[in-house]
Amino acid sequence: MIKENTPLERLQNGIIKENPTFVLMLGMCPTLAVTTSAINGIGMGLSTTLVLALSNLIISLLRNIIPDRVRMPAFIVIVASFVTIVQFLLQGYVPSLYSSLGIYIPLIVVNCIILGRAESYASKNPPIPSLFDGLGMGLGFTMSITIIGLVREFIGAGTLFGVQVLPLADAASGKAGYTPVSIFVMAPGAFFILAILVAVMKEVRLHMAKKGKPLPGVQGMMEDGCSACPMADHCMGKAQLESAGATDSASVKKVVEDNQKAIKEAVKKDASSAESGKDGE
Amino acid sequence: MKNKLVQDALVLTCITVIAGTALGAVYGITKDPIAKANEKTLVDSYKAVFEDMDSYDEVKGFDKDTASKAAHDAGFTDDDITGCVIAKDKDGNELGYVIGVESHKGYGGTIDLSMGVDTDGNCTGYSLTSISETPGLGMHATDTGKGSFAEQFKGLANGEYKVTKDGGEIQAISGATITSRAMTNAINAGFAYYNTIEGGSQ
Amino acid sequence: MIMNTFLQVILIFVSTSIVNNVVLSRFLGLCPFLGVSKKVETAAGMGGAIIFVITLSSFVTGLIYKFILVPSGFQYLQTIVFILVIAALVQFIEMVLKKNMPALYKSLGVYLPLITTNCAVLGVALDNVTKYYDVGASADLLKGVVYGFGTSVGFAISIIIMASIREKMEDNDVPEAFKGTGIVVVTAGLMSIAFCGFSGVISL
Repeated sequence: MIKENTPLERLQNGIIKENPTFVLMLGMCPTLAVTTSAINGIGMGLSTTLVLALSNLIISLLRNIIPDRVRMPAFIVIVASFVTIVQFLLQGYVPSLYSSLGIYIPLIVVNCIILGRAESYASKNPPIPSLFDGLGMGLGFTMSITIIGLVREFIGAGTLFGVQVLPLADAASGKAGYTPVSIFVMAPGAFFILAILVAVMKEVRLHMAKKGKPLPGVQGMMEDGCSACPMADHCMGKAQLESAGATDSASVKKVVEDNQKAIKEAVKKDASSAESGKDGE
Repeated sequence: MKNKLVQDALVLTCITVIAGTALGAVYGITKDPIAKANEKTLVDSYKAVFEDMDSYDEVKGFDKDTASKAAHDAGFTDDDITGCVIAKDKDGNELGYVIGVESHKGYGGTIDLSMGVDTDGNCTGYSLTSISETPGLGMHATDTGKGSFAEQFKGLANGEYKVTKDGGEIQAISGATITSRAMTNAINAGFAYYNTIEGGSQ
Repeated sequence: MIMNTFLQVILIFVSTSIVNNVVLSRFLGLCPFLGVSKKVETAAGMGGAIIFVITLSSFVTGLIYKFILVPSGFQYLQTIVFILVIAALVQFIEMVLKKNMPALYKSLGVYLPLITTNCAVLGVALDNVTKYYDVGASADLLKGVVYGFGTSVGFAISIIIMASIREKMEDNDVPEAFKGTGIVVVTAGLMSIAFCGFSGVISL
């Protein structure tokens, strides 16, 4: 067993044990959108890794300075800055990748892997493990989406990394060969690949649980609404709504009212503690 | 103990200001490489359509809006003319025009291309500068060489073209009619613009 | 001229809401799409909240881009500025609704905080910049707002359809491995195929 929170353990954790895509099921938007080819997958993965590692490092360094109440906006600013920097670098040095990833580069800001790691790891741990946590998670993400990209590219176009590996059939000249299932590189194919992935992981989960070695829980993607999301504790709407099983309007209303009551009480408490703080001055 | 709100705001402002400054610095550093990369893509595409090109001159008084309007007026409302230069070989002889066209009709977004028109008014081909079509389908527009979609445009006389599906003569990329239509119309728009500049100077 | 603009606006609306559906062909806003689509009622609430926020935010980010970022030459700060503006806007909308329109707040309020980090909102703001706000003299706020409105209506349409399918599907005998998320994603894939049928009808 490798010691907890060492760089090596963090790398292994991110790449295998808590692989963000396969195990935690986080960050599915970019996973589906850019995996039309393996090259795009690698490009997106590495860009995300860079942002993840650097923002984890900075957030961890600043973890005692940033006041608790404004940490979300602060994290967002830090992440957004790194994303913009990565955007400049790609634009300047790998323009072809920049143009094929398009809008998904700036959208790294809202990739829940990044804010999720900032919140659940970097804001509670020292800089070095945080840096490696980011690196591990990023590499795990890169690996997963490259694999998905390879599968989609292979089935959908008969190519690997853009190289034609399966000779294509040509009806005009009567040449026999592979007829690409092009739906796999289009949007519906992405959903089907994801569905298969979810199903396989569910089986693996059951299997591992039977063997007494359960996998870490799914954090992203819905199983129970967003209640498993890493940001759940801060996003007021979510947990109350879905975990309370509030799916009909009456119970939603109740949840909302409870929510409001709780907020009011919290505000009151805050105000009174501020009051007492003033008294102390 | 100071007001908590002020402290929160202060820290947040500090972080934002530092982040903003850092970004400004990185922007300054990467500005040149970005400009260079963009220019290199353009010049490479010029060379792709005029193999003998050695240098080029900007067309005097080129204006994006007027140029695009020329294409729109000719019926190609989904294409903009983004640039126009005169390609020259190493002895300074004019080879023809390179016209930059941006099509908004692509399947995966806009498609940017440079198209060459030689001194006889024939198309010398196109070269894509920005494209994000579906790999294995529309992306075949980037293929060059024998039997490719791009090959059909080499030596094409000035005129208006359509894909075979619409009763024209351009063989569409299989499975990617939308991309092929967009490309064909972009070439048409380029010709339409070419006619306005050549017509004017004669 | 007015007729022309009107036509363009209609085209943008149809194109964004149906032809290039934001969830089914661009994968933006996938989390709420899969997470909050168990019941039609909640799905409609989420859809309504998204329409509200995206339409407003495309207007506000458009104003900020055009009148603050461009004149000061700070376009490169757009990602940071937009995400902060969106976060602030969501908070603000929540406060205003709570105070002035309690009825609307009751039906949309719970969904609002969910939306801040929804990639569709930031996606639309960034799309608008490249499509409409960044094209020199022809920068067009109206088109941007319509683009935002259309996109969010597209989201609402697809999440409501998804929820009604899921309600019907509840008691179906689904293979064990596909129970829960699996079958929902398969359904999304089939819906995506259906929406593919519209592709190429209009594109921008």
